[in-house]
Amino acid sequence: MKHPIILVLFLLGCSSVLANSNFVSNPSLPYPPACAHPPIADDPVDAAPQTATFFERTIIRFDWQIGEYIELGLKAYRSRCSESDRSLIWLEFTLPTEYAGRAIEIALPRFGVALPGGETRPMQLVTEPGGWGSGLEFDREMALLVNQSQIPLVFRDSYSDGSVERKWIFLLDNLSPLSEWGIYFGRGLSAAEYNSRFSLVPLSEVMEEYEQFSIEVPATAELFPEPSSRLPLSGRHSGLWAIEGAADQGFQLSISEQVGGRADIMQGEPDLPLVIFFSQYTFDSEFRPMWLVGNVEFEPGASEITIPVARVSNGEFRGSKLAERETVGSVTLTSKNCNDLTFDYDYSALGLGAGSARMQRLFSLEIAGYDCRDYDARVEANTD
Amino acid sequence: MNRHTKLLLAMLLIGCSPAIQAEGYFTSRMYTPYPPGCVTLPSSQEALYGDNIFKFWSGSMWLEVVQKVQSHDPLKNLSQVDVDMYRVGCAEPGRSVIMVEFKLRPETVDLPYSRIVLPTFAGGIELMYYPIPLELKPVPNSWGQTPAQQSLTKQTFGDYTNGFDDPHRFTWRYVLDTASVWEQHLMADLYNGEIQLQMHRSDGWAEGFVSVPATRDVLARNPALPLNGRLSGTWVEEGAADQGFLLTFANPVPPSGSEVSEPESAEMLVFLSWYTFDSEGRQLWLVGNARFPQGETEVSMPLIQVTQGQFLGPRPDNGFGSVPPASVGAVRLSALSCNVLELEYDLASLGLNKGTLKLQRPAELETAGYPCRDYDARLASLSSAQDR
Repeated sequence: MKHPIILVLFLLGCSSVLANSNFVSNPSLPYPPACAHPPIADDPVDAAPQTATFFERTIIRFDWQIGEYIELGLKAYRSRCSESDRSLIWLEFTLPTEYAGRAIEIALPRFGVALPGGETRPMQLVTEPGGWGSGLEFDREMALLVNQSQIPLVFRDSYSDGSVERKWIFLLDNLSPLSEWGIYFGRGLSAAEYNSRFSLVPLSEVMEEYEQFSIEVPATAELFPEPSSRLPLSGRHSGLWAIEGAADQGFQLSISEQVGGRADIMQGEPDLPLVIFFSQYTFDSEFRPMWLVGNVEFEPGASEITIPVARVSNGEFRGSKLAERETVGSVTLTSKNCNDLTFDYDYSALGLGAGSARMQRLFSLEIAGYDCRDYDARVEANTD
Repeated sequence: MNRHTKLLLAMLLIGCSPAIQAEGYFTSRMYTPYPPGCVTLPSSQEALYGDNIFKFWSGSMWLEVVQKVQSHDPLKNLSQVDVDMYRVGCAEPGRSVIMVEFKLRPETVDLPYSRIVLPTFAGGIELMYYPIPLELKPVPNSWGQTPAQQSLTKQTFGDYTNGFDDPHRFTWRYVLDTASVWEQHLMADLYNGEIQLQMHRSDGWAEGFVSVPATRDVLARNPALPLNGRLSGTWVEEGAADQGFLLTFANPVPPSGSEVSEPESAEMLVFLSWYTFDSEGRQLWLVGNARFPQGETEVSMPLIQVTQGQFLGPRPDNGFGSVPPASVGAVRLSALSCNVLELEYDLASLGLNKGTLKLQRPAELETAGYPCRDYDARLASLSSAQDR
């Protein structure tokens, strides 16, 4: 936002403090956290392809259980995001069906990005997108792909279905920028680097000599000329929003989940929808302060919602007297990406007409520890 | 909470329509048996949340070592590791987090590129019949490996490339959490009760049982909670009708082109909006914001009243002249727990005096996918509110 509103008065004169990693988002993510859920091949709303495979072959890995080498399928693909020039890189390992039902233990291969000059920048494969990682140094933790239960024997029978093709999916991510002592190790690939063309190479210490190969990762722009046209509304959209040029006013959105029945705890029980609480702080046609509120439930995955908006008057400061409520219009919010909501309003009943405007984040502020965009994108947008 | 004073929101919380299947991306993981707002990376836990810790077990285990060449003698594939187990107290009553710490011994650190496989855990009251699987997680409150990913891995740790130069370097800490891929879960009440833990080595060997004391028997609740993003959302004062607060806790970023150093150490920013009524019953909205260091449990800020503005427009030239926002008072905000904020205000200049109020969540709503309390606590709180 180039035009400041109220907040600008207080954004000056800040001082730095001691480091801590809990309360802010990981600045080292090269992708928008809101994009980083497991890829959905078919978006029921956006007809354009969401994923693009650029590598598929078998690799040979050592099985520690039996002590022999076996073949493993490896597929690499990008899935596109709603943010411009952003995608995620996924690596998928598949155990051929001929090994189904057999106990195996294979070290998860590690990869690095080949840099000019022959150096390699190590990366990690994560199952938890957007996290800080374990906070441990590189090379101190690893995972084994196993084809047997790692839990007490009593449970193993129920999970050793040999007919299922075992598949492991990991997101290619930067290393955690923090060591276990809280020391900042700096950043890995920038978002621009992650989304450009580069070579991904296995790290030699865990790969056999004859296994050496590289994965040519195409740039996001080569695979997806346009970003995904929508982003489902989620908790990451919560926070402060404003319309450029509208002085001394704005919005706060709070997108919440309810408690109660949920299909994953009570079978047959429908999941509760999400709830958005919308508040707009603005002025009426006679320049008097006016706050409008509204809320509505919506299904997870929706990117457009319509909210009836109410004005409340004749209330009592901190008192129990019920105010007069009046529905004065409606608002439709459409989410295009983490920093772009379309605000369609009809406030005719207030004499303010109907219209449409673009809502953006105020000063790139997002919920602490729960960002929607990657750090680079937020910094870039925060130009004033 | 009075039904009529739960915000306008309460009207719409009834008559819920069926929604699509559970989607982990949009909601939080409901089986987390501890308040997510209670726990951070183990390395930061004590500095941020205090030393409200109780060690309930200390001993050693023989754990499997995996390496390129396995010995045919199973005992040669084992390494002795020292283990400590703790409960870490939370600001929520009767809640704690179980942490497990593994320490390598110097004499065992001699095998390049070998890895030690973490044991598996099960917990419960009657382990012989109803053991419930548990996982060690390096990232608290994570979803872990989901069945949808069909991803099942074994966790290992180990680093023998730099030598054993400091015992601290060879300590690994994990949160003991419910397993992601299983249908049985140790819910919060059980997790915080008196339970037994069963440990299994990766080859299936039972390492024995550990008795875990109940949270309430060994720990008092933390008196405060650091202000953090999980406290964002809607808040109300019980009994105050048709009014409330919206809070956003954010971490600011610098403008493009400026130097960025250690962004994870940035100050936080809170933006508060209070929608209420003035002494004559007219709409009054007040806003305030302030920066504060991470880990703080309270923050003060001036409150601003804005007048003479123009709907979706610039400051108007309407004959009144431009009226800059004016400070009309101040508030001090502190977090007592995930569901109780204390707000002291001074609005004497508006004729609304001074006071202190307790804020709570309306209808136990928390940010989707980013809750502060565990699901059980929110559900219990909702039931309790409905009963009143």
